[in-house]
Amino acid sequence: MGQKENIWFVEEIPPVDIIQIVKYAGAAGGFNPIHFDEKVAKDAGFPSVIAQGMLIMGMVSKIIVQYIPELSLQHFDSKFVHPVLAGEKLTVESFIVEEDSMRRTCRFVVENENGERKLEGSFIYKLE
Amino acid sequence: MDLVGFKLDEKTYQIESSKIKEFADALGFENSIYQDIHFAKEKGYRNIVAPPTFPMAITLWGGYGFDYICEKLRLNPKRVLHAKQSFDYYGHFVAGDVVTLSGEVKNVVKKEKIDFLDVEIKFFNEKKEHVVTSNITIAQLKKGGS
Repeated sequence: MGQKENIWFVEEIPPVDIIQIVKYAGAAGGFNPIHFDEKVAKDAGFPSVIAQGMLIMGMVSKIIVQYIPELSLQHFDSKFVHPVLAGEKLTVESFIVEEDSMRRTCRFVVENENGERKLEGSFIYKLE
Repeated sequence: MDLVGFKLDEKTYQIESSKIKEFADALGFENSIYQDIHFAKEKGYRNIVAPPTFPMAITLWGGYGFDYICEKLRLNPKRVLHAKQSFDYYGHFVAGDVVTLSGEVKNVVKKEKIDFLDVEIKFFNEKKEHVVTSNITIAQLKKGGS
């Protein structure tokens, strides 16, 4: 999958706990009970409550902006492949896909310790 | 009902700086232009800046809340998941901005166990400049699906 020669950065994403999930729900205004009601989560087939895909995507954005010029982001997308459970140790890896004199396109993947894919997506930013 | 082309009512929302800060804090940002007005002003911004995924908070607090979306799009709130998300940026928002947002269902894909809805939301500032487009793919799990 990943072309290792193009790898740009690898960073750990701190594990989320239920408090952070609820804090994000309040901050973002998203109150899908699947993120805080154990019964709803289990009825939908998950072992426990799951983190918002947007919480993890937001944590990825925090890492990305450390690597790119300020406010240079032009595009950012993510597919939520598998749900993230509280306590999971995650890593984000980013690869440079292409670039010209104006912008750079990158791909990223988020996986847990067992190599299970959680998020995958891309971002494009303006070069300085 | 065919939902493609269905438009959500236009909404307006004023971005409070405490909402941006709360959002940035929840994602683990620290000492950044997203939290600290001194950092932001030093860099020449009018106020603290909305982080990249903040349009989701504008969406949910700005009138397209979870219950509203489920009701308008006839989704079962207990079996809804966020499958994909994308943002295209043409500018940025700072605290104090008044945002106008408008949404439209762009595509529906029906599968055996799951339906996917693509909702596009465009965000404009007070000058009617198009600042961000957000594309949300919502998955509706059907009965018996897992």
